Formats: sequence, C-alpha cells, structure tokens
Amino acid sequence: MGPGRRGGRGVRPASAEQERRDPARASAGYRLAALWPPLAWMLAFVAAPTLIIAAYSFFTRDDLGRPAPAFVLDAWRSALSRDHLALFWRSAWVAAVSTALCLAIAYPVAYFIAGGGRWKNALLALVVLPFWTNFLARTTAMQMILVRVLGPEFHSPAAVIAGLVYSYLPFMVLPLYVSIEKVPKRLLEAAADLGASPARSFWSVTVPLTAPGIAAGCVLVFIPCFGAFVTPALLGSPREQLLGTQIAVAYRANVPVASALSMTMMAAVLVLLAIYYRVKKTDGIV
Amino acid sequence: MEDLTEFDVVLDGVGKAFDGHRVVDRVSLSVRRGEFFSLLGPSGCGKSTLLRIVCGFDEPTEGRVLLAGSDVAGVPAHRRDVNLVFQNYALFPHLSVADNVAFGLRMQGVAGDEIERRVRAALEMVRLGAYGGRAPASLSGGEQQRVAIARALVTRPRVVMLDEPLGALDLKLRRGMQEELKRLQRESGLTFVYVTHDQEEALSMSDRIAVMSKGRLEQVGAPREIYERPATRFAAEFIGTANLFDGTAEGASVRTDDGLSLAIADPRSGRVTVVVRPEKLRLGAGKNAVDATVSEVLYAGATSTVILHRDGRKLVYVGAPDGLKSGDKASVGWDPADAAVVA
Repeated sequence: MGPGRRGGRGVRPASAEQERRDPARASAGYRLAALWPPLAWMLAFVAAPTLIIAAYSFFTRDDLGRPAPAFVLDAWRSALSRDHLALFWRSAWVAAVSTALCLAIAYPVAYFIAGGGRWKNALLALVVLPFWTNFLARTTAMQMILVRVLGPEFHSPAAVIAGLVYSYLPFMVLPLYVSIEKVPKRLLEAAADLGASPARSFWSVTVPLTAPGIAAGCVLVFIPCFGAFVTPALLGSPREQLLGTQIAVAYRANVPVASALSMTMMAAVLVLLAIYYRVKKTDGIV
Repeated sequence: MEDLTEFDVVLDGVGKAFDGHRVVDRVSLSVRRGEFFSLLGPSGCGKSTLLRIVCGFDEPTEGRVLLAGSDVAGVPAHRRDVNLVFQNYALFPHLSVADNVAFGLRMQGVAGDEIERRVRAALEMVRLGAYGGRAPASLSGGEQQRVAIARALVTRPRVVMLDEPLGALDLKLRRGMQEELKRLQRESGLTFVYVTHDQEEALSMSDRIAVMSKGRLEQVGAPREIYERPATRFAAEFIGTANLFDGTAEGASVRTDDGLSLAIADPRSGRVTVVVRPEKLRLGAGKNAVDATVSEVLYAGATSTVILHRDGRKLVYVGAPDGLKSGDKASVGWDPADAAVVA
C-alpha cells in the first residue's frame, strides 16, 4: 500500500525516540484522521437512520395514530401479510422485467460504443446526458409522451416499466461498456483462430468475460427499480401499488408499518448484494 | 513452380502497407507439408504481420496467400485450417485448461466423448495430464504455453503457426520447450510455421528458415545452408557470428576497404563482402592470412573464443587456441572455399 507501511515493516524502531518518528505510525494517524469524515457521514446518514427505522418498526401507535415507543410485532405482521407480500413480488417482477429490458437494450449499445473508435467518448457522453435533467422532470416528460401516444388512460405496469427502463438504462450501459472494452482483442482472435464464428465467439467468449459487467449492471438497475417511488407514482396505476409507493402511502397513515416494509425491502436488497458479491468472488476473473 | 498441393502455405508476392508504409514487401515463399519452417528476423521485420495475414487477422494489400493449394483471399480467420499459438498464450481465463483445449473441437462439432478423449490425449502429449481441471491463471508461464500448444494441435489443423511462443520464458525453460516442440512436431506430423527473432532457436529447430529484414525476404534455406552460404550481408550478420570483410572484387581476389588482399573461390566483380565464420578460421594457416593482436581469450570448455584486433577491425576465432593469451601476435587464416562471398 502506502510507503509508510513498507517503512514500518522494514525498519524496526530501536528506541522510544525512533518509535515516535516511525513513519508507519505517523501515517496510521493520518489515515485515521482521513477516515473520520466518511465514517462520521456513514454513521450519521446511513447507520443512524436505519436504526431509527428499525426501531420504529417495533413501535405501536397512540390514539392519534402517531408512533409510540413499544416493542410489538404488529407492524411486522402487517408487513409480512399476504397483501404486502403480493406487493413485494409485484415490485420484484416489475424490477426484474425492467432490468432484463435494460440489459437487452444496453448490451448492443455498449458493444457498439466499445467498438466506436474515436467516437467513444462522444457516445458515452450522450448516454450520460439525460442525467443532466432532473429525474422528476424526465419522468414527467415521459408521462406527457405517454398521454400523447396512449391517451389519459395510459397508467399501467407497462408504463412504469417503460419509465424505469428509460431512467435506469445508463446504469446498465456504463458497467457493460467498461467490461466489454476490457475483453482482450487477442482472445477474440484466438476464438476465431480456433474456428469460432463471430456469433459463437460472442456467446462463448465475450458474454462470459463480461459477466461481471452484466452482474454489476443488473444490480445497479434492479435495486432502484425495486424500490422506485417517483416512476410508479407518476406512471403507474393507482390501483396497482408497488412497494415504493405503498411505503409512501403507509408513511402518512402508519409509520411502524411503513418502517417494517422498508426493512423487508432493505433485507431483500442485502440478500441480493450478498449473492452478487459471492458470485463475484468465486468468479476469479474480476 | 512445383505442384501446389505439395505445399501447405504458399505466399505469392504478399505485401502489406499501413498508411503507405510497407511492413511486408512482396514476400514469396512456400512451406512444404510436414515441415518445420521458421520465419526469422529482428523485431519489426514484418514476420508477425506475415503470420497474421496467413491466419486471416489481416488482409494483404497485394499478393496471394494459398493454404493447401487454394487461394484464401476473403476467407475469414475462423474458416481457415490454421491454428496460432499466441505469443502471450491468449488462453481463455473463464475456461478450465481442459475446456481451453476442447474449444476448437467444440467449434468443429466433435462428439462429446471424442472431445474428452482427444483433450486428454493432447494434455498428456504436453505433459499436463493432471491439469485439466485447473484455471489457466493458476499455471506457470511454461505450463500456460503448453496448454496453448495443446489447444492449437488438438484439432490437427493443416498448419500450426507459432508466434515467438518461447519469448516470455526464461532461458532454461526455453531450452526444454525447444526440444519439446520439436518432438511434438515430429510426432504429430503437422506443418509448423515458427516465428522467432532468436537465430539459435531457428537454426536448431527448423527444417528450413526464411530470413527477413525490413519486410523483405533475405534468404530461404536449410539452417546449414543459411549459416554456411548466407545470401546477403544481413543474413550473414544476423545469423551466428561472422567475420565480415567489405571490399571490391576483381576476378578471384578482393581488395578490402582496409587494404587486405583476399583470395575468393569464385571470381566476380563489384562491391562484395567476404564472410568467414569463426570456426573456419585457423591459426597460422590458410591461403588468406590476417595478422592481428589477441585482445581476449574466452574459455568455454571444448573450445575457446578468441577476440583479435587489427587496425580497429575485430576478428573472432573459435577453436583450440593452444596457449594464446591477451597481447600475443597471431596470424589467422582461411581457405577461400571456406568463406562465403555476398553482394
């Protein structure tokens, strides 16, 4: 790692005087100092809110419906009820379809850009360009387009999926582009040399070698789609809530239930991430 | 020209230019079936480009390439019966050793149990029988190279091309692999086209060698022929050690630029270079004699190498020097028949 570490291992301090000047120690101190801001940030804005929500999920409600400290499982019972689980699966389904569509659209795009020679950077900029517009504005624009094309009754899961694909496509394109570009040209030549047609070489060399990019892209798209709020709120049918919109609705009526739903969602995402890292580790090529 | 089907590779005036710069300049040569043929030259001489053209990765800008007698212009790499052993192995990192070797067979649609049998045989052949399940990344450089060779040989292509396959290995491993490659070529009976910049390697392994320089073919011939009868000054200098005397020929004698008068076997005229190999020099004998001063004696067991100087000219003698030491005066000579004369 840093030069300080090497120094610390190589030079044994012979006296207290030297020990005080030991560069390894000094740099360890600096590293701790540098670590503090992000650590404090994570504690304040990630760990603490998560713990607060976790605590809320065990609260009960007072007569006015406000959350009241307690340790009851009412909210969890509701969150894991049949109705909410159905919602859970519907959200997972919508996210899965959106992710699959993103992959199907993004792979050819990324493949094309990776082979794009001197246009690479310009094409990548075009992929990222929509991010310069506010997410809400983009989704509203999508809403207006759908009204034009399909009429005022356009609200449907399909519209939600279209909106999600539109919004999260760049999250798929970028990791795919990175991994496609990294595939060594000589491996494709080796495949051709051994008799693989371009199509077979694509499926038996390019796709497996870009598996890390595919996995990363899918995780990056699936997770926000799974918990999406703005897109289903603007494009979805009010009769068919998704997890994200349901949590928003519940928050106004029943904070403990909303908290328990949030926790189940987070647990699902963590399981997904655990699988992702496990696969990535055993992969060996990443 | 002879019957074309006797040759596995025929290059007919093949040239390649990148941005107007000629990297391969109208090369014509033929590789016989079952031959161990080397393309030898310094880096940048165009030998790797030539190999890429034969494999189908690059198209020539002029000339024809014939594989097994038929013109392969426009035939893509995957339809050419040529397998390449890449310089840096180019093993598929996501496949096991056995799957790497099986790749070509799978592409040919060979049946599963036959693939298994042939892969096992190929791995045995390169002495990696127990490595089938390993990942390429867990193998040493020499082992990876042998996997690459097994992968190229297992489909029994018409021609195996090898692009400096031993370049990344250390000296000891190289020696071992040279013998191994020679054995594999003999046992498999396949045609090998071996690209190298190592003249010793080319001399010891090849049936024939093509010497290249600056995109041009300098000479094609058997190792002994190239060593003893170099066709050009470049070939003489690049292969082995040579004592070179530049001068002007007139009949059966050459007046060298530094004033020596040398007899040559075959009369000729014009600018020439007389090439004398170190082991052809004799001490105090020979029709041509050059007086020089010993500057270094390098003992190497069976023979010694003696470096001599004369008026800034360096001479190299290899043989039994019989007690010569630095500073001694010596006369080295040779018979005209033992020297080559190149233009």
